[in-house]
Amino acid sequence: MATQVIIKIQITVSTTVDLHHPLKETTVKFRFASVLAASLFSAGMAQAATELVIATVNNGHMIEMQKLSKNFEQANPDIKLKWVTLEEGVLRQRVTTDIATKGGQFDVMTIGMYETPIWGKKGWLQELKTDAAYDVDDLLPAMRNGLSVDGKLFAAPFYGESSMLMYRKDLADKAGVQVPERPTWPQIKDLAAKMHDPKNGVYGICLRGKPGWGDNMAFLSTLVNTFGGQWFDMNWKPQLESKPWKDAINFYVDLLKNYGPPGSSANSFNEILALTNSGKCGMWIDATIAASFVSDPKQSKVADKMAFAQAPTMNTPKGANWLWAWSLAIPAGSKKVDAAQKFVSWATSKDYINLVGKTNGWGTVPTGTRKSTYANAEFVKAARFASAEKTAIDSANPNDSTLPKSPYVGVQFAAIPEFQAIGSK
Amino acid sequence: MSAALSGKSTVDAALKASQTAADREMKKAGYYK
Repeated sequence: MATQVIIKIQITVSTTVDLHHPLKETTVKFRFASVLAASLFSAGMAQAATELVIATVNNGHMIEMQKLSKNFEQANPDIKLKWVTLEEGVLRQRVTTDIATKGGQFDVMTIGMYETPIWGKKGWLQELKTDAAYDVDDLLPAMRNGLSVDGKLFAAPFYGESSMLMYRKDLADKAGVQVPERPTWPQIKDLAAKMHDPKNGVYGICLRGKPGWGDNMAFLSTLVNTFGGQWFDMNWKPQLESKPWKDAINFYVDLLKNYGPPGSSANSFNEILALTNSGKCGMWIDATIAASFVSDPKQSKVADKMAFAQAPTMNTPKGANWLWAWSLAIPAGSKKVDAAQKFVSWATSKDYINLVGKTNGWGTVPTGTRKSTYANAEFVKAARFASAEKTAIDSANPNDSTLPKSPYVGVQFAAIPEFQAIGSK
Repeated sequence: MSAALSGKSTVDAALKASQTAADREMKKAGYYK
């Protein structure tokens, strides 16, 4: 666009020279006017074509959004999208640096439920203003709540998840165990013992063990929560040597040592997904998003044998299952708020979910954001895990996830800047 | 936690080390003295 403008201006200048020719004056004037008008029009276009730089994470749902975003550009010819797609860790680092220094590199940022309350409170994010068609009340309350500060929505959920139990129904049947809708941890331990058959390559239970606040500590925070513990008390004192922590971690280590696969301390989401899909895990408690993979016959050997239930509880159901959303936010002070808001609304709309459903199939839509998705018969038919996932998301509350009162927001993390360092130690 | 799981540390020792590190971080950030 910029190049085009420069060329037009050069033409205008050369035309001006022609004005000195008396005979041609009228026509030349006319030509000058029209060329000038054309160049102004072109310059006007260049100004109106806003370029949005979007920082996002390189997972399947986001890659699909990039592909489908040509629909948005066609409908909004005055907006051009430029994508910066990064690994989760790198993305987090880049957007955090950019927003903290007011760098202005990005117009739309993909951030999680961890960053949103911290940045919203600091005034680093633009409050989102949506129109009637967006139907903000259609957002799942847990998600809207987790992405808002003082009732103001600071990030729009693109896809969301909780955690739940995924298990081999065939092995539970063989063990004569009927898994309840919301089992307890002792019941899970008992079933793990019955399913555990390492000689035949089946381990009773697979859980995250790889260190990292987004890896093992996400799961362990939910375990500690349901054992009745918390990260910090009301004076912000860490509680890691309290009884619930000791009980929970001892239970976990014992469970995995006896009924887990070898090398659990190196396993996180992707490793256990591969183990489960190859039929090696009797049970797995992890992100609800995994349900769509383990029940997909194209990637799972045990797709038709998988069943779903709520995450197990111990002393309290509070905080037993996590809540997360990858969301789109606009940095405060952005010069392109209107265009950015337009894009954020499009990408997190009902229409976008319908577009994915129609283009790629209803089993592949981004879930965990809107009530209307779970009310859609086509989605429910395509996703056996739909009702378990919705129950899990609905039961999570980042503002009330521990038995004793806590000063922080978050189920599987504490939404304070220091947590990344603390949770990864 | 990972060290406790792999048997490189006991659960009590792992939690003690984590508590100390977390306490230092929170103090440094000024949550308390």
